Amino acid sequence: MPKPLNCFILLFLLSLSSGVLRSQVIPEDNTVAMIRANYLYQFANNNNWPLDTKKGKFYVAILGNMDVFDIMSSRYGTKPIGSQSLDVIFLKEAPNSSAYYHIIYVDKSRKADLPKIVKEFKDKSTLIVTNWDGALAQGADINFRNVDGSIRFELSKTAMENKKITPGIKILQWAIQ
Amino acid sequence: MGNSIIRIISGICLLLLFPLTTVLAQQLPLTNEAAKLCQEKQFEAALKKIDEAKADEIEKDNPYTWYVDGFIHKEIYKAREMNIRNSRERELASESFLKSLSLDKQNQHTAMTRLSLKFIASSYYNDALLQTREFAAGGEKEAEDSYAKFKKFMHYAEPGTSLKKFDTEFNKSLGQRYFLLWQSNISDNSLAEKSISFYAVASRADSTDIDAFYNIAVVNYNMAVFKYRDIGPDTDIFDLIVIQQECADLIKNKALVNMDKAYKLDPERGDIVRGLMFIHRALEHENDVEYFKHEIERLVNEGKITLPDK
Repeated sequence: MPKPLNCFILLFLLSLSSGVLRSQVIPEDNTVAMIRANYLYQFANNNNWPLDTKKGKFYVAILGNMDVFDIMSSRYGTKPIGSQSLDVIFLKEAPNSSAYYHIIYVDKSRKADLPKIVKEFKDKSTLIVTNWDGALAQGADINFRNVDGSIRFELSKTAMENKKITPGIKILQWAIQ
Repeated sequence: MGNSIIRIISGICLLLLFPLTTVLAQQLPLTNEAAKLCQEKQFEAALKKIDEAKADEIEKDNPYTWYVDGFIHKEIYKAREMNIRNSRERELASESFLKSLSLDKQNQHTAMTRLSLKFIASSYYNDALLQTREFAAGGEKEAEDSYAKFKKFMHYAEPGTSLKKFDTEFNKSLGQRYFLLWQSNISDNSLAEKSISFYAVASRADSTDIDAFYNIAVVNYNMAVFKYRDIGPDTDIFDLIVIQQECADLIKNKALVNMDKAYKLDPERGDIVRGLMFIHRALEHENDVEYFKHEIERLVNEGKITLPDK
């Protein structure tokens, strides 16, 4: 084959493979926060709080995780919990007991604040939810755990009952032992 | 770019046509006359003349006669039917070029005939790629038919040449099309699965194709994210657990595995590093998230990537 043809064929082959194939884009959704927010909503709906806390709003406070707060507010913020409207609050600092919250979610990034929160709210019907190993022993009532890529939760029934919060059947059913 | 290459091939074929006409003028007068008419773009007259040549006892068995016949049909295709996917002229051209090859036992005209077949092949490849950009769900058969023709004619044009690179590109293009179709109808997961299956074919054709692995990872990860986006106030706790198990399988066993393969092939590519960071975040692999966050910072600092605009 004459030389010019060889050059030409190379050019040809290069040209054929020049199609523009765009790489797809990975979405930035924080899926873990989505699940945790839904669980918090499930905990609010499927546990039973004492009668004296069923007036006014149902308060869920989030400490240390803006994504959980954003998702919780935007997806569940307008939904009622029983007869109460849901109010989701982002806490910049560890709360004291002067304000009442039905649920406080303490993110692992604020792990160091847990002992103080447990102490502050030990006489209140406040469900303390966390997401790190050993948190139940430190006084949390429900703790998220990752099991094979799925978020599940463990709970201390005794701790909840001591706070006059009755765990719902669904919550007990799906809690890991 | 493909079309300009087709024009170059065509030009070379044209140049090759006419030196031969003088050599063969006395032996193949009818064919020679047809070639001249073709050069003057008198296609109907050229066709009439080459038909006479094909009926002539001496000229009908000469490979050059069939080469010229193919050439005339190819020129008509270029002039009138370039945008017609099922062009009859292109079919006729390729049939005649193949006949010329089969008759050319002494390989006198083989090189130029193969070059013309390469032109035909490239035109089918262009069609195939264009078809992958416009078909509706389930409509990839036309693109696949065009691609099959490309492979057939490349086989004659360049026997023994590996088409792996084209297999990869074509299947990635089909995968991309199904990804786009899925984006416009995300409730139909069969579209995502089709996309993955075409990217998988591409990755099998070329186990070093980074984009194929990356895109398989992204489609699987997106499938999981779209399922998570459906979680809301009406989701039962049982459904939440089932959805998570499905998503964990998509993310851990499919997205992560393929993104890892892409990463091994190119650890400096920003979208891959970023993808791994999000995948590990979804799996709560904190150490890996931190590692890939630092990798992104390093790549940004070294000017190798820029972060996407928010």
